[in-house]
This record gives sequence, structure tokens and C-alpha cells, in this order.
Amino acid sequence: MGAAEIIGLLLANAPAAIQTVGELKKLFMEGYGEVVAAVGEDATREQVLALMDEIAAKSKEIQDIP
Amino acid sequence: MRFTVRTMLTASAVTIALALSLTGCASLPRIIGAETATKMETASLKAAKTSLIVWRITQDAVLVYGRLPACDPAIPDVKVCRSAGAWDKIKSVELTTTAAILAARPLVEAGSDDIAFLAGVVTTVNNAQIAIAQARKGN
Repeated sequence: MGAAEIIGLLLANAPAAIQTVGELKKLFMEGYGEVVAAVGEDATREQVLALMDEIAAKSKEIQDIP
Repeated sequence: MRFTVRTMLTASAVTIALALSLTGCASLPRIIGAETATKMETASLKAAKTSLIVWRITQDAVLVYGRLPACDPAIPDVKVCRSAGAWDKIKSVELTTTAAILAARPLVEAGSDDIAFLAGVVTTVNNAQIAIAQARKGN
């Protein structure tokens, strides 16, 4: 594989890399805020149950990826 | 006279202290126990909620990784890809952890005060995060 082909592959891969970094950055920013908020407030059983439902749904999404 | 008054006052104080210790104070451990139990339950729910949020965010990150194109050994220069080996391990850890979390659901629904079980959610999530990090590193 020549240098031009490698550069081509890297450039073709760049949008995926940028998108991935962007998604992870967004996750971190939103997640950080959510965790800080959760630490500062009391929890109810209903909130815990709602989170369990979300987790079950996300788990299905993950497990469906081959 | 002054000695007698002092003696009576001292005797009264001792009597009051004894009465308190035998009546009012006898229920104090129960009151402290109930309050402590409520505080512990509140703290456990809060810790469980925080850990569940952390786990949901971890799942989002896992989804980002899972949606990457599969790595191609013929093109090792492409680094932004999903390794088949790591993905299998991550999926396995995700499945086990979510199953452990959801096992606590009947207890939460029933309003059980099983604090140990709720606190266990924190440990489960923490262990899963360590396992996922190791899987990503190829261990």
C-alpha cells in the first residue's frame, strides 16, 4: 500500500473519527452535568425504576449490534 | 441548711437523670435507629440513582463504539473502528451488568428497604466500568 492510499484511507476515516469524538464529547458534557445534578438532589424509587427501564432498552440496542 | 439544700438538689438531679435513662432515654436507640435507617435508605437510593445514570451514560459510550465500522486487519492504519474481540467482551460485560441491575428491580418496586442490594448496584457498575476499560485495552 502506497503513501497516497494510506492518506486516502485516513482521510476517508476522518469523518467517522470527528463524529465519534463529537459524540463522546457531547456524552461527557451532558453526562457530567447529569451526574453532578444527581449527586446534589434526593432520589425517589420512581426515578430509579425509570432509569432501570432506560437501561433495559439501551441494553437491547447494544446486544442487537452483531 | 445550705448543705441540706445542696444534697436535696443533687439527689433530685440524680433521680431525674435515672428517670430519664429508664424511661425517655430507653426509647432513644429506637428513634436513632429509625432515623438512621431512613437516612441510609435515602443515601442508598441516591447512590443507586447516580450509579444508574453513570451506567446509562456508559451504555451510550458503548453504543458509540458499537456503531463504528468493524476493524479490517488488511487496513491496520484505520484506527477508528470496532475490534471484534473487544466488542464481544464489552457486550458480555454489558449483558451481565444490566442483568444484575435489573435483578434489583422487584425489590425497588416492592419498596423493600434492602439497602445492601441497592448499594450493590454501585459496586456492580464500578466493576463493569473497569471490565469495559480492560476489554478496550485488549486485556
